[in-house]
Amino acid sequence: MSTATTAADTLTLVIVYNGLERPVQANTHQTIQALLEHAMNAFGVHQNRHLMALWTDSGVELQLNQSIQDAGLVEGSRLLLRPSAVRGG
Amino acid sequence: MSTLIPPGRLEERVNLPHERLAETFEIMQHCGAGRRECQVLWIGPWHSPDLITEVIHPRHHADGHGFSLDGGWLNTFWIDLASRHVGIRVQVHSHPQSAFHSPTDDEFPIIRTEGFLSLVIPRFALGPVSLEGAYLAEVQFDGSWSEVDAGKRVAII
Repeated sequence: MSTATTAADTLTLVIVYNGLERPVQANTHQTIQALLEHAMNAFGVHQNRHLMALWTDSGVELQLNQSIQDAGLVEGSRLLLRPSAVRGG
Repeated sequence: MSTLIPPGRLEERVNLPHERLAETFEIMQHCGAGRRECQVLWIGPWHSPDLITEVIHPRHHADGHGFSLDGGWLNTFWIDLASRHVGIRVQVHSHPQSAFHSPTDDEFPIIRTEGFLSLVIPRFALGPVSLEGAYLAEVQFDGSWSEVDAGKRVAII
């Protein structure tokens, strides 16, 4: 079985952060962790990156070790980039 | 989708209508009741990022020492912001006594990109409707927080 990337393996996802939307290119075999890194880079999130996560429109947090394919993402899927927790004190 | 990084620059001033400041104090006084901290979010349109147009009161849990936002509410809010092309410019919360940025405030903000502002209001916002005694912090280029002059960075209009 070939593991080479083909055009069919690539897709564009839409990341939402603070009211802005950015397209991010991804490969279906990439992990959600890799996608999360791309998403944070696109929005200039440089600190406390371990506190950030990707969520579906329906409020499901994506697991970092999953592949994009296994997470069920398809061309044009919209994902929310936000902190896992927001606190103050 | 024309720019790579969200609008929001270091040393950019935001314009806040006095009515929105009064609304902020009213929400914090009512929600906190002089016993609990409270948070609101100042938002505005991305086509005019220096203008605050709305005060949002997040669903949250709070006591006298801190607060935590509801995760389900955050997802819905995130979608709402995008659908209306608006964004959070300043997070605002109250403290029991003096205003400062605590380690929790540093660690768990709602936004952590350059130019984002975090305002802390003293005495559970029970004092006069003003920025006197308030503490304002800004996210720097490297993601760290620095205190900035609230009087210079938030213009009450």
